[in-house]
Amino acid sequence: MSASYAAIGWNRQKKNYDWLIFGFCVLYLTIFILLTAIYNPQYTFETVLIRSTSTLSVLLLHVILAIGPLCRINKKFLPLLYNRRHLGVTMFTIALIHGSFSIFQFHALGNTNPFISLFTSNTQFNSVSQFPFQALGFFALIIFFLMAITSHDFWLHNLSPKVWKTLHMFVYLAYLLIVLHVMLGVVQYETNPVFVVMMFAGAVTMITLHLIAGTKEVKKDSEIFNLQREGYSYVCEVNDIEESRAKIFCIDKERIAVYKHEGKLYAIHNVCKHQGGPLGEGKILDGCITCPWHGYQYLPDNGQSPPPFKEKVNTYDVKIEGMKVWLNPTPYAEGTERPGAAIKSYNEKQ
Amino acid sequence: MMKPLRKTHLFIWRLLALLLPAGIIIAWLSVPKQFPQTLLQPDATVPLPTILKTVQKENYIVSIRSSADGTQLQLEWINKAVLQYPTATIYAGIEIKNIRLAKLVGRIKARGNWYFPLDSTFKSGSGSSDHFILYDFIHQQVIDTINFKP
Repeated sequence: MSASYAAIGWNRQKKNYDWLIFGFCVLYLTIFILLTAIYNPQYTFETVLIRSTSTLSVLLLHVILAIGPLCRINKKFLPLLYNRRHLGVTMFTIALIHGSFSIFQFHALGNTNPFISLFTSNTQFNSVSQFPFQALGFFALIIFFLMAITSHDFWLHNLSPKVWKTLHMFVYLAYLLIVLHVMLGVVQYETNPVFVVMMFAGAVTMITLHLIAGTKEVKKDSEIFNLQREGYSYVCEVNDIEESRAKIFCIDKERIAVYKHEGKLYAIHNVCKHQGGPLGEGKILDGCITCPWHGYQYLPDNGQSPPPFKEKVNTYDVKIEGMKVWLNPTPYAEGTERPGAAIKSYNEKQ
Repeated sequence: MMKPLRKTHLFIWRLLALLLPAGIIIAWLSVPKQFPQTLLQPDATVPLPTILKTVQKENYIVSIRSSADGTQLQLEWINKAVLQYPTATIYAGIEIKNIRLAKLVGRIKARGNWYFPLDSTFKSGSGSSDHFILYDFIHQQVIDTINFKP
């Protein structure tokens, strides 16, 4: 969380994360090039570079796509989410090297513009085995490019979270294009089935993870709170919520996080203003509700980010009867102060 | 994440759960059943002494060479200018309708001189008409046909 824009908001964790990514990429490329030099010495350096960067970028794309659902399934993966954008930009850079060398190698030596050659050299769109697969990779690269250049918070704020998120959801289309790029390209020239097996395993893993996480979320959204009174719904017992943590309830299509903090319960909208992170899955640090995705913070009693930040979320009324927690799903305007509900047993102990 | 966005995510992945396996399987099933092709022999490095036939093209010179006793034949390919294709393959044959069934002679790159031994099944005599095809296997198109007229 930063009060002004910086090219990259470095901190110790981000530096460690990026060094890890860099080290892995260098190691992967080195091993690939060395193994090729030993087992296929006839290949030129350009060919080795094209192949090594292609496999590395496909691998990184799978890791990136797996992070989201893994975090929904198990919170232990949340640290990976913190810097996912850095991984995305790295993947784009490697894919760009692959694309640039491929266009140079296969299209730049003629007397036709390489980009025109890319789209006109093969027009067999009616053939599966001879489909112009290079164009699929090119369009995927365009999507990755748009995602990479808009990955900064500056664009998130200026494009609006809705537009930004819509743009970044095109990664799924890019993934489909990449799978077809590989399957209609490399696999058509390779007799070794290992590529097909790896691609299939990767796709099945992605589909399984996303469907499990998505179904889990839908189930959470479908929970029905039958016990209702005077606009309030009975949601849980006081002891069901851990100290400085929250439970999330979906009422009237909105998710609300009910936090327990220093003898009181507070209810705020569950969606972080930054990138839509689940505030109810974070915890209270230094008196502030902290988003588990990128560390954006909000005060529990009014849903406002502490100054100088200006983000605000809706607040809600919550009350306690005995040990039962009742929640009113009617939102107050963003940043409205609410007193919270005092926990009698907590205050008696004090 | 908002509820509509969660539903959109799930819808997309349900769609991908159909499209991805279908795409992979269709692509796998459509891999051409190629006949195994190996080069006639490894590339040669030294030209044989006698030139039997030569064809001059704008950007390259192609010759059939033979040993002094006539027992060995060789195809010589000299690029005069940089070829417009980074890599291309040469196939030998008389009537090449299906390139996958043609006889692969060798692979050349954009620059340099290339020599390929021709095996005993290749006959080059004064009365024969020898054809070679320069084929771009990336774009899957015939680049040029080399005809040695008798």
